[in-house]
Amino acid sequence: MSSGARAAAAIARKDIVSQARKRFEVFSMFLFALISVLAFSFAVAGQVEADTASALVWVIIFLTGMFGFAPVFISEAETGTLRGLSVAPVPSWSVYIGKVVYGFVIMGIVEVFLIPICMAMLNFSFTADPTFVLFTFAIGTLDLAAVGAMASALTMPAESKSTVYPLVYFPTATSALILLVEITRILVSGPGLIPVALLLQFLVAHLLAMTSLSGAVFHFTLTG
Amino acid sequence: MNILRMVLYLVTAVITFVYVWMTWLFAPPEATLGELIRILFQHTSPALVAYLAFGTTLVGSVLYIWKQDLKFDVIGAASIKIGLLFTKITLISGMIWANAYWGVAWNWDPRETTTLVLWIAYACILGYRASVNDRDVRAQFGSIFGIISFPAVFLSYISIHIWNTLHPIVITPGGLNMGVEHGMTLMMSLIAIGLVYAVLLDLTYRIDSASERLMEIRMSRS
Amino acid sequence: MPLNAVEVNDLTRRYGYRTALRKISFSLEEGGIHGLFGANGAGKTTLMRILSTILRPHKGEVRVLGLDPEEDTLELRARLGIVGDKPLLYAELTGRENLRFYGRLYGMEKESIEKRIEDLSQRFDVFEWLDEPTKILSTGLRKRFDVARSLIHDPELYLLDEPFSGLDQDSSAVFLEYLDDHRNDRTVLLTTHNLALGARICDDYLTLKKGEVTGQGPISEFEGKL
Repeated sequence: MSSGARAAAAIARKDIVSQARKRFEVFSMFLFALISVLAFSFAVAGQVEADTASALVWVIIFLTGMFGFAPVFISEAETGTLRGLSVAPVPSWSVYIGKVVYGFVIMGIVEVFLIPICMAMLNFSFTADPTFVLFTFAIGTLDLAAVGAMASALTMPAESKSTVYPLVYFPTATSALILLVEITRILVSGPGLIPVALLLQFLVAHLLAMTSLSGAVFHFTLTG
Repeated sequence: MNILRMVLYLVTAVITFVYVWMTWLFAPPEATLGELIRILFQHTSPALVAYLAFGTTLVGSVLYIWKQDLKFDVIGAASIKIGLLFTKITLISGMIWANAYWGVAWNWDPRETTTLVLWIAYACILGYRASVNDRDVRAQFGSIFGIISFPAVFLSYISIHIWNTLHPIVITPGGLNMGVEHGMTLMMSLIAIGLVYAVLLDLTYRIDSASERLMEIRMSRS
Repeated sequence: MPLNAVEVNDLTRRYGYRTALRKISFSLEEGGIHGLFGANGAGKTTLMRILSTILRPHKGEVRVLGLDPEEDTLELRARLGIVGDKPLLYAELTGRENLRFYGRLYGMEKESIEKRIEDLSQRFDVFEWLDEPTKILSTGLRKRFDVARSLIHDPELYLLDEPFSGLDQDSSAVFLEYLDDHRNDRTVLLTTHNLALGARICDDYLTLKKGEVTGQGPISEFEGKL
């Protein structure tokens, strides 16, 4: 393992252990997601088609990410510990990647509980093509985590961070959301793996573009 | 005012006049679209120029991070404002077209959606920049934001190739998908709007750097 | 001939439109405790940040331990120890976990991390607190852990930016004693507003005023003026 990968693993592990001790962030993310499910089910009054309901899952995850990913860097900037990471002899991208992995893990934990609840309450099923669904969720969550971590880094110097964070997260995450909603909708309504494969290619391309672009410029959020 | 700038303004004025004349008088009605073709000239060119404006922001951002010269940051930020204006024109002329042709102004067509996302994305950068007080940090982080937002431009551009959309494809790899007169008019509108962009960028840059200079003077007194 | 730990030539750095450092030049010999004094806004923190590789100089040349902070960033960082006014500790993690984490960041092997934690916790008298989360510790204990954190990789140059702020007598004493013991084999650059303390422990001084160097010399010639 290269020194950069080792550092990324150490950073992700440190954050996961911290989160496992305080727990409230993951827990409040989950509660927020649950409230969103309720809000949507009021709006559609149980009359919703399976494909629309499945697309709603991504909207909920997107919104949950809007405040779930926010503390990824902001909290370290507030406690000052970010200084320790910025002077450590590790490449800057490894700090970013470590945080992306951490974001992926916390959102993944929320999804494990959220998706079965959504399937039961909104009356649809992902069981038709489980491998494709799993792959889509993994790539989609990773993509949102990549965008969310970068957005959190960009929000560090802003005033009234909670207002500004969505401004940064939204523009980059929406591109992914459009693709994810489309893919999930096709997966649930059944046929057509060919259009899904094409859309998945764009999703993977978006993930690669966002992580490599963010990883490349991340250095400049730590140094002036 | 120096000569070069004078010439630019004059050329822009003349070309813009020619563009208006070609759009409304020179170009004949199209076989199937009729007079509606005239909307196209106010739609395609602003869209391409908006992409150019956001591309300029990308270049300005990269240059700022590389050279640490606030000049590049001022150019990048100025180009966002003008890019937003042209995106707005694109959206509105697109809606006028859609309303006339399909009877509905907004269809949630992927091209429309991704262009709206593009507008919101760059408007978000402006909002974000206003929330950062420190001038250096605003330039640094605003530039990073300007770089990572660029994939949204790309998505808007390729959206008609990802999805089967209602949006007609005018520019194909084989050339322009239209008659000669219409092609000429489109070219002229592109040049005219490109020049208007250059003039606006120049003016915005000068106004913004003047107000930065003013700030610099006020700060140096403290 | 002693080598220079820090060499700065015509260094300029702007902040927005303000010039924080204006063409400063100086050098610091290897070994000893060097004091960096100046009023607020004199450019101390800017200089410290440039030396610690997190701020780029706009003009001029900087050499730290013979390395260029812009070119040999990672190599240089591995040889620097940095302490600021805030402890860089994670509240949920224990002292031991914090030290282990930083040891890993500095690319150390498992055994040498454990060995070093043992040594440092004895030295700074925090042994019995090693397995408590740092959020429940007193400010003094946290500071001691933070100092141990900065020393985990045995750096050659310590950059200490206001390290004594909010520190009680006992904790400062342990820290000062450590610095004193290593006066000859390590280089320390220290900024502090506490000039009396600075005058007591430093070997020589460097003063900054409005981004320019106003004086440098042995501490005996320092008259407590900025």
